[in-house]
Amino acid sequence: MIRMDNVLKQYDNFRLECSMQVPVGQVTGLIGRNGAGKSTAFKAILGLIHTDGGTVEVFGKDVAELTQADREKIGVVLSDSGLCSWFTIRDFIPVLDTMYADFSREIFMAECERLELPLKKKIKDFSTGMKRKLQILVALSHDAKLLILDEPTAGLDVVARDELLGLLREYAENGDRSIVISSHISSDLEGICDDVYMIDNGKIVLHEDTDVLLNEYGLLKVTDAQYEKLDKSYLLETKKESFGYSCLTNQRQFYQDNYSSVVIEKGSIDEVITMLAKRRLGGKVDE
Amino acid sequence: MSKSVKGLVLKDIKLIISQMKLLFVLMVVWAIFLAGSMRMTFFVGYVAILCSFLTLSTVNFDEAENGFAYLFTLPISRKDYVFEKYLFGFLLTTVPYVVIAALSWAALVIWQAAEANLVEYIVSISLSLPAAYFLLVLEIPLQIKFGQQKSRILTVVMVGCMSACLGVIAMLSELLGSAVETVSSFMGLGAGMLALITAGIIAVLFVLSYKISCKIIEKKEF
Repeated sequence: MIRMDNVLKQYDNFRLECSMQVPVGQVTGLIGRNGAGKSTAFKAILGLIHTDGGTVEVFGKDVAELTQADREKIGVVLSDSGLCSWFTIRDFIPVLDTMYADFSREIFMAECERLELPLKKKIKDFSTGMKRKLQILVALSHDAKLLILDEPTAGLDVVARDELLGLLREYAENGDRSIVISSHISSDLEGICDDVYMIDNGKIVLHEDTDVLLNEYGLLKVTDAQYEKLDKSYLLETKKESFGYSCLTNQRQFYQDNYSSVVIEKGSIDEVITMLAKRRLGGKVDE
Repeated sequence: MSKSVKGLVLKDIKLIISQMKLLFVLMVVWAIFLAGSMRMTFFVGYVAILCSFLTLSTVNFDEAENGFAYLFTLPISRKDYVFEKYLFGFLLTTVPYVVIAALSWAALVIWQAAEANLVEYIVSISLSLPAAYFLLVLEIPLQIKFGQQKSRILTVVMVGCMSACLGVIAMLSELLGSAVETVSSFMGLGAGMLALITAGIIAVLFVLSYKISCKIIEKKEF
């Protein structure tokens, strides 16, 4: 569905070098800290920026060659841009109806009602959460085959987040649809993504299936003495702590089987981000 | 007309309607002119220029809050967007101009029947439409290129242009009858031929401006 090969984008103080793939029927997460390059990667996929190298393909075509019909199959939520705030939802409905062949006015209005979005209120007077809900509804309203969602749950309360993730899960159940989604809230991604890419300082530093990450990754908390005796073959990152060391591994079972006295926490996206990002920040790490 | 262009025209119509307060002010000013000075030719020019200015404001609205980024994730190509702006600008300038010109003529006939002369009237208002088109072809590429950040400077420039255009129109409309005759006799052209030449020049300017705007928007990043 999406293929980025060695995509390069150079800014004055930032460089994106990124390769990733989103297969048909897959939900892929893109994680990373603020300014890591998530939005830049999304903008490259959408053709909103010109790249300095590499290729971006969507639906098997170079992104610059996507037709209007191709673009109708893409639903988008952007973190820093949205619908014209001077409009009401009612103003927008005929515009969407004209642009998208598969837009369903009735379903869209019913969903707006269900999510308590007022049709006659100007979007500029919406709360952040309401604006986000509206963008997601628009992205889901025209039977898109590909959803590109940059921080879709930002600004939403827990109930609204669950509701919207439910909508996305429902959407993804149809096997020929794909989603690429970024979020700061790792539990959002753990619950919905088939695989995750981690981006840091413009580069992909990790790609893993979510199941593998949750089931096979782990965080070892060891004292200095335990660390000395530890087999370090399967440690991905090590960080000095006040009590000894924190060690990230992708072979949790191995350590559980062989080091029964060591405290081992289950892997999570948060742990991976923390450990891998600290390496770049110059945290004290044993290589 | 493609679906995307149609959708964009709809969007801009809705946007203009959402700014109805401005149109209301326009109508009030028109009513004041109607009841007061009876300088209809000046007012017809005012409407044409103001409407071309409204088109430019739709670009500002599109760009506000980084709106271009979201807009170009919809099924719209950058060329569609530029084409729609010129089409919308042409329609938004021409239709109100024709309507107000007709209404003003009707008002003249009703209240100043003795002085109403259709040919003189058409000649006196004929310059304002090309002036409004000229403002449009000049400002659309500038607006796309420099955007909202520099729109204050642009606004000052535009207001200056508007004032200058209106001043020129007011002055020329007094002289235009004799001027058209002088130019026509000098070049051996009739008024119809002059109108055709003007239309040709405007058409060329539209095409050139459109191509420049396309190049500008293709280079932009959002």
